[in-house]
Amino acid sequence: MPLLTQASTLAWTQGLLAIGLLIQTAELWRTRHLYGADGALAGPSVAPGLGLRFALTIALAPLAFRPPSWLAFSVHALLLANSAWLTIRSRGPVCGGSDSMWFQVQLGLTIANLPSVGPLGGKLGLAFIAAQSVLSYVLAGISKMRNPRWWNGGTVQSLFASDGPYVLLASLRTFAQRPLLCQGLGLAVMVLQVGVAAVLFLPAELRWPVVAGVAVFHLFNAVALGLNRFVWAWFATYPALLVVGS
Amino acid sequence: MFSRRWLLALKLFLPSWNFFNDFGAVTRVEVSLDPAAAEPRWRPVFGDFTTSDWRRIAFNPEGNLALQKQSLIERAAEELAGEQRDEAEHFIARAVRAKLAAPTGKLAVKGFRFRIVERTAGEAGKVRFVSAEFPLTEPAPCHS
Repeated sequence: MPLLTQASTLAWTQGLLAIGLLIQTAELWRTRHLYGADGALAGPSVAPGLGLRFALTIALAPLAFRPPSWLAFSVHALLLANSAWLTIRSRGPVCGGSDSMWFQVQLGLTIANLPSVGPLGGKLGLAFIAAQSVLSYVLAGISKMRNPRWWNGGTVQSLFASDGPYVLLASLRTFAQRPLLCQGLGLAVMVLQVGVAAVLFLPAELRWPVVAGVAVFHLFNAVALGLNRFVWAWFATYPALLVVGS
Repeated sequence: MFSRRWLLALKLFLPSWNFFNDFGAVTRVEVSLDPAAAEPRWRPVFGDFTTSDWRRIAFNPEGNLALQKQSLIERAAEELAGEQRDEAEHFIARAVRAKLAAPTGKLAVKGFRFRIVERTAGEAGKVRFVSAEFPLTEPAPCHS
């Protein structure tokens, strides 16, 4: 499937979003006891809301390659509202940053599916998604650069030696005893994150290495820290990153 | 903030990408099952932050649940010094009660007390808060 058309870019974005939301919904279903009568978030049952989330996500599939319509817009808007419900019901994001990025992607796709604005809606939606993606990396990278512990590897060492909140892969705990490795990882993260800004200046065909670099970063975090949802949340922004402005 | 839930949805429109800047002290919850003792014995409630499971790259319900609980605990712990103290204390008590009751669903002790400790790797923790005694046989009243 060719990537560099507006329709296929939106379809890829939608597909990657859907995969991520389905995984998240399945995980929340598995651990819904948190919301049960004896759980920390005791209250109304989440089963109807999660069921609706699942159904709306599945409904995205037949809409992927169709032009914007009030039906598509309604599905996206309902999914957006469902995400807001989930955040309120959970007294906050269920998984911090990934929730934030998924919401931005959903917002961009809702804009893109406004039938009254034509192809401009798609451009605006993709530009919005790409902007949020670039901002997320660059702001995080700049913030790290202001912290000396990222330059000397201290933060990364602390992470691999930590006892919470992240559940670390056992075999990676030895990294805490390797200060040069930790320093290298810290520098690499900063370069990768701030380097994403380059997509704003590179032609589309040269953006792949930048995107591949941050994709590896997220895959490493999924293996090392269990942040699997972040993979799908940020992967859903990559089609927009690859084509916006080109 | 803990009880102003509508603000949580509003924040979704205004994301802050300023996270994971440093990794220092971690908020931990410890529980004492002999709350009346002169020197209670404390143990972590939510434990084990190491795994060998590679499959979590694809599907990680328990790991994400642990992160979600930790985030809730941290936000509640921040409220313990403010106006939402009662609600936050009861919220954490409910979370501890749910954990103590799992997996058999049977409650082996009559009461507990929890404390909030900030721990940095390799250092002794600092106790930030010690709760009142809570029973395990009935839900704590909630002010929300």
